[in-house]
Amino acid sequence: MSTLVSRFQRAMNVFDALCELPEPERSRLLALHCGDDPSLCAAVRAMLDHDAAVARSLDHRREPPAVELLAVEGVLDDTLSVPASLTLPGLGERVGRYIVGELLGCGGMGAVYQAWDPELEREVALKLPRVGGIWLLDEARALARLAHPNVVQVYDVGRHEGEVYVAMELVRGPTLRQWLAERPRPVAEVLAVFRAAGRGLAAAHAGGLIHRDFKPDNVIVADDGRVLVVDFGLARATGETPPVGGTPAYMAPEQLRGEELGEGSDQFSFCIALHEALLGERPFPSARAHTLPYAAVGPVPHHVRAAVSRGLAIDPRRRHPSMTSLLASLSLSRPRCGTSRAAAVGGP
Amino acid sequence: MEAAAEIMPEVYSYLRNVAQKYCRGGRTPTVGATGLVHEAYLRLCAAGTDRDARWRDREHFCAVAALAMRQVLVDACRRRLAAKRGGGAEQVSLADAGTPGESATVDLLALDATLGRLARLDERLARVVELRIFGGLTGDEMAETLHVSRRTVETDWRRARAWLASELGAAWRFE
Repeated sequence: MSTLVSRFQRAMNVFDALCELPEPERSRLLALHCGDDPSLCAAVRAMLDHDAAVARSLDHRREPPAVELLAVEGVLDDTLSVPASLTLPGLGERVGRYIVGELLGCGGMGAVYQAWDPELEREVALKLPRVGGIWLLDEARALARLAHPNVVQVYDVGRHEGEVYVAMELVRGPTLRQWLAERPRPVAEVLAVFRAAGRGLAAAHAGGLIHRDFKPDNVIVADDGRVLVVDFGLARATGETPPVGGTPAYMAPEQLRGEELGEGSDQFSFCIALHEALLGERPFPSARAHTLPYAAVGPVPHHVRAAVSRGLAIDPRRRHPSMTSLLASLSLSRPRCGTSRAAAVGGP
Repeated sequence: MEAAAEIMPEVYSYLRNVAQKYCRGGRTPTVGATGLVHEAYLRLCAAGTDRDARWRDREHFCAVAALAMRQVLVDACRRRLAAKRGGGAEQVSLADAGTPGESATVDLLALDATLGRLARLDERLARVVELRIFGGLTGDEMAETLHVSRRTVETDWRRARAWLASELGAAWRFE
């Protein structure tokens, strides 16, 4: 035990012993307990004096006093110019050419604002990294190059006070998690939504981008019926030790071990989410699993179970060779013959 | 508190934005940090708004919000000091609502630093201070959050308050 801690504990013990005692008993015993250490004595004396002062002014046997911390006028003034990593923009401020509107949400990834683009006269969603995180311009650019109906469209990428921001399509609608929790859905409907999200992942893989944090919170089931994957490849902040970003419950084993990620890691996360949506619980439940209130309604076809099982192989090499291949397996109406069937049956 | 790391950015940014709205235009805020935490609870967790059901209960939320609120205020103080370049310390008021008219002023950054030291000596004591001052939790709520008895919380608070007073010295005074 360190000296500091043991001195502290000694001070606490003496304080406890003496705080209820009246003078002159208190001073006498203080000298007795701490005479060997003048600075400890002084510290405990100060503690006892303060305690006595408080006791004089209120009855300390009832509820501890309500302490209100009031901010000094101007302390939270936002007109100071500071690096963006210390601050988030306020209403009406400009980030690039965009005028910041309402804060829509904030997650492990960063903050999303509704914003207005005065050049193109349209609403956008503006994403900024969370306090202390940074995004890589390269990944933001790679995302901007993707154009796919199941990937949220990135319009613009830029720097604002040293931080990368991303302006993208503003999509309104519940996340996949919220959509699944609204009411029980038929298996066919759940599969259709997941296949659409899967196509988005496949398109990103084709574009050289790995999502790294696929989960039902990162898919939007838009009010207009589209299914869009969001928050690509942005789960990384430099300088942090693995596992970085990501949500542990959906992470692939190689991700949890801090190893290299590949398309197979996205596939694993996708299959965890699909398993959960179809069966109402994750395949490897963790202590703080947010399980969904409903499982999908109706029988889950065998070929679907088999395809999901394969995607959940601990060894990435045993999973499907690609998202595209997984999606093909999910849409079959009867199991295939040959090697892929053997692999599915023999899966974990 | 594993879940806190995931949820913190959201609570932080919410509190910061709300606090800014109160302070914009040089108005002196009439609501304290704990009022902001209570409002944040209503906005982020009350029935209907917390669709993901991330919060076990109000205690859980306020425990996380206390951390966030402390960080919001400390960050704001640091920014302000950086802009001033060497001028003085940021004094904030600790008003004791139990005895109207009595308040303590304390250097917020000194308090934050001292709390940090306290955490290394006795984590639970530091947590009690944080929950009380920044989160506005009552004794029962703190006992619930920390999984100790009400009596333990009261003893902790009494010790922690005394220790802070001995450490902060002249910076901690009742007017």
